[in-house]
Amino acid sequence: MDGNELIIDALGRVQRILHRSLEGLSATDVNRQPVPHANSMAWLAWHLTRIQDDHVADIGGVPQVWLSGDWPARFNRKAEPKETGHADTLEQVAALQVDSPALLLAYHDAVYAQSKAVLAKLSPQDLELELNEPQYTPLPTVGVRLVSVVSDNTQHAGQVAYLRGYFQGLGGFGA
Amino acid sequence: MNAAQLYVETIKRADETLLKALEGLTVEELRAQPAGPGSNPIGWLIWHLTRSRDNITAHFAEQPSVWEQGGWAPKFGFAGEPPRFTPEDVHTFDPVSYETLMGYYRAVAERTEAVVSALSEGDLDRMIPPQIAGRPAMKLGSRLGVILNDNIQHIGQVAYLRGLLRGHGWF
Repeated sequence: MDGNELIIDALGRVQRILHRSLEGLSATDVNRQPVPHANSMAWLAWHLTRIQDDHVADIGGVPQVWLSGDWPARFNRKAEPKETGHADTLEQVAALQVDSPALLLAYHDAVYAQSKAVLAKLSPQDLELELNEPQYTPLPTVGVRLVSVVSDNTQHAGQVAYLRGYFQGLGGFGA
Repeated sequence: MNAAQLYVETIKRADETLLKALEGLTVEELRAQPAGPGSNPIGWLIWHLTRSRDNITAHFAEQPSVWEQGGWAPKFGFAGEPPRFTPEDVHTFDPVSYETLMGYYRAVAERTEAVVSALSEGDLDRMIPPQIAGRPAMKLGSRLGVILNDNIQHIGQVAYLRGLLRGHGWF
């Protein structure tokens, strides 16, 4: 099994967790912060998807899904490639509000579809290629960058799942 | 880079996050339920994610788990096989001490890394029978995907809970 297959598998699991966690929730729950300094499900799902979109598009040499439609307007965020939520202030976290979890899932599904297409083309040798980022020693490889995406995305998906339990009470997954 | 190498890199990254999230936490904080009654404490999450990593590895490597081999049950106060914790009793899980909890975790992290690092391309494509009856068989490589997904979600939860306990800006 090549490395790219494991990444497609890992990001597919992230997509399923998001669907399972967000479907059927009200906008109120999705936008809610359990305490004022903590991230909402909406912010977490948006941010993890932005990270996947940005990093994978960069590796694939394709435009970000974010910039190829009206996603920024629908999320009320900037139409800029580095608008990922990284280093957001508490005010910016609180301001990320969606009308429905469907928007989060639609953006995520569009990004994962692009990710799968990009990742399917990567050979084991491609994963060893170094990225032109001299600010890092040693230079990161394509594989290392994808490791970051999987680690970041899976952590945040786990947080979204935990918050579903937090708001919906025990047995939020019905099992 | 094959799936085994990718697994090792990814789990290392996640384990670094876990250690950072735990820095300076007291045993009381490992037992706390900052998300309210019924929610999983940090100590239980770490024990549970470690047990998953241990059991999945033992299953595909066809060897006893670290839990069995190292005699960890009595160290955690269990007379035999631990119970299946529910939201009602998850608060009764005792991590004992940072050293005990993380001793088990370190032993499993080391064993799993050694086992996975020794896997060949052929091993990764080998079909592994399900651990739970009725589930589909899977390539060994996909079992590594199961560990990553389970463990990293829980590590993300630990990180979030630290934020709830200690406030914003720790990361």
